[in-house]
Amino acid sequence: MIGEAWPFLVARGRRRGYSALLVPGFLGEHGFLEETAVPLDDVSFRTAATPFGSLTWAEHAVTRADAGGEPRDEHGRPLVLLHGLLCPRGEPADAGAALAWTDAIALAVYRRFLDGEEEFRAEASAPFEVGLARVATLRSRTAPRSPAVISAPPRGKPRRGLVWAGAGAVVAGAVAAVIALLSAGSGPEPAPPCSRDVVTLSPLPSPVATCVLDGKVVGYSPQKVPVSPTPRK
Amino acid sequence: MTTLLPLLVSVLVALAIGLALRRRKRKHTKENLTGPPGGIPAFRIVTLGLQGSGKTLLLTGIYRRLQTPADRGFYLRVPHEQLIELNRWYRKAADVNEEWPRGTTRGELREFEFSVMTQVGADAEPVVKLGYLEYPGELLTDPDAPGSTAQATLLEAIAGADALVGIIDGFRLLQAHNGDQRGQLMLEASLDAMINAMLPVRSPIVFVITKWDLLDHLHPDENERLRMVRERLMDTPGFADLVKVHSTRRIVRLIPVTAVGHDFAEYRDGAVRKNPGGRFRPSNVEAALSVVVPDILRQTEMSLDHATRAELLAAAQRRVRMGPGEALRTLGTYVTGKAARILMSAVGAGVIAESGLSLLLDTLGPRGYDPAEHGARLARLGEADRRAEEFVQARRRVVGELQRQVAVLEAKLPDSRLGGDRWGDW
Repeated sequence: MIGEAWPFLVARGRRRGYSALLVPGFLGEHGFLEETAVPLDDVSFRTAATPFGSLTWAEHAVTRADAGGEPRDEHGRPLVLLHGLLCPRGEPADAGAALAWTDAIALAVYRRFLDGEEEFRAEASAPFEVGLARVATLRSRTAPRSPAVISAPPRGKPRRGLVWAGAGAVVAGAVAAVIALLSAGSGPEPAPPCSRDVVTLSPLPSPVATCVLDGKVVGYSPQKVPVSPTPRK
Repeated sequence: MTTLLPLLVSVLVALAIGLALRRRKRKHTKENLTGPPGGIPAFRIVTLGLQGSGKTLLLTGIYRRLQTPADRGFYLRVPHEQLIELNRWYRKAADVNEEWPRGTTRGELREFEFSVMTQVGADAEPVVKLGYLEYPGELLTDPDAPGSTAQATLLEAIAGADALVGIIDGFRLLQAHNGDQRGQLMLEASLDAMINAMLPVRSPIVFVITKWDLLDHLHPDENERLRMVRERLMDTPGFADLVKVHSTRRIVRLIPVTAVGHDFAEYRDGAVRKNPGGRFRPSNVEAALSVVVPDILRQTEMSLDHATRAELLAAAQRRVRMGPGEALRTLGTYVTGKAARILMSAVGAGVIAESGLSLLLDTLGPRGYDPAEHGARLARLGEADRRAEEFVQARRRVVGELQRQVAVLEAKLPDSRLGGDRWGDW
């Protein structure tokens, strides 16, 4: 099955810290990209399930040729690109080929970023077609290393009783989900929700992609303008 | 609707099982008092430093220096997966043929859990726990991405920290010293971030100058070098005010550290680079951690009014005469009493935890260790109380050793005291 994949890039500059530099055009909130795409140490790429689809990413160590100069930041640390693709409807069948494609796109964006780090605003990516290996079952192929510990750790010892209760609730939820799936049957995966501020409804007869807006499935095409510009000092 | 019913039933059953197990566990705990009286005191430390300022290498250096007891009588342990991470950073940093570790990303925000281990009777046991938040420095200065929770997590951690460590990047100090305007601006930006976060808090603060080795050439005498840097920092109006405000309540320290050693790296061709023949020998890094626990206890003690302090002191004296089990029970009167309320309003939520109060009372007791008296005292106690008493003594030893390390630092670098001289010595 053929599906859509949206390139993304998270990277640090010679002066600026890590941020998303290329963002899937349909996304309104892209904070999860920076929190999910962590550096890889022992594997060539990784896939993780996110609320917006499967996220597959790889690392690219920036060379002098890539950067057109010093491939380190001002503290002497190596520059690294975390690039990849977001597939709303499944996982890419050939992740290597898809990542080779996003690598080239990411590098072009990164060069523009290095030309003016302080003024650079995240760019919106357009989708490309990929073959999907697995549809609508988004599971982490390799568990993300230390997923972000988002909430502050509790001060006291964990309450075992509540932990058991939580575990029970998880099991119960899983059982209920299975029952729900069996009773509902298998249908096509629903389109992702639209985000009004970054999505342009397409007047074209064959829109690029679909999403859910006010309960209806609509077609749209990605904007070619920066996504959620964030002022920087 | 039919799919919701089994879910509801399952959740209710799970809750009932959980509560039953919890009640059983609580009953079981009451019957045994063989662990540390009052539990293991846990303190959370948050460093405040911009990207590239050396937070990760400081964390690595602290662990490398304190992972064995040496002559200190205590050492640090971390959970295995965190140990793997720390060792990976160490290998990257210490190998002159490798690049520096790449910066921390938002997805890598997490707390490292150090257990301070020491001998309790025949076993090595944790007596204090220290949480150390690792995060990307840009969270302090850059707007968070839409939908990200990392910045909120950091701000929450800062507000709830038991101690804040301000990281002053030696590289920025070097740039400022060389007249580099960007270096000066970035130094000011880092100080601004600290001022904003530290001014309203009541918890202890300490300043650490990282990459101290890059400033070696300023003066051959280390204390003189520190004095020069201190003067530059105190010339920054906001920073001087911050120190002044906190000095009314505590000693404020400025600790120079190098996480790599004095000949391992140098500033060359616009970046900090490793020297091919450099030796990886961190220096002073453990001081950044050693000052924290004594400062928290000191801060707690000094924040009390005279009457409350006298009340707690009397409780500490009584604790020496009674068994730890009884001492723990009487502690409850303070947790619910006036002294605890004053403590809470004085120092916030951190130290008032029963374990922290226990540690404070331990250290308020008589100083010094008399083996004969200790032996006689142990002989009077039952088995459970004897074990608890061993914990009390172990905690006291660790705090005493931490205080000794602070004293050594002050003797070596008198200018490491930025302010708060009237609080005297530990």
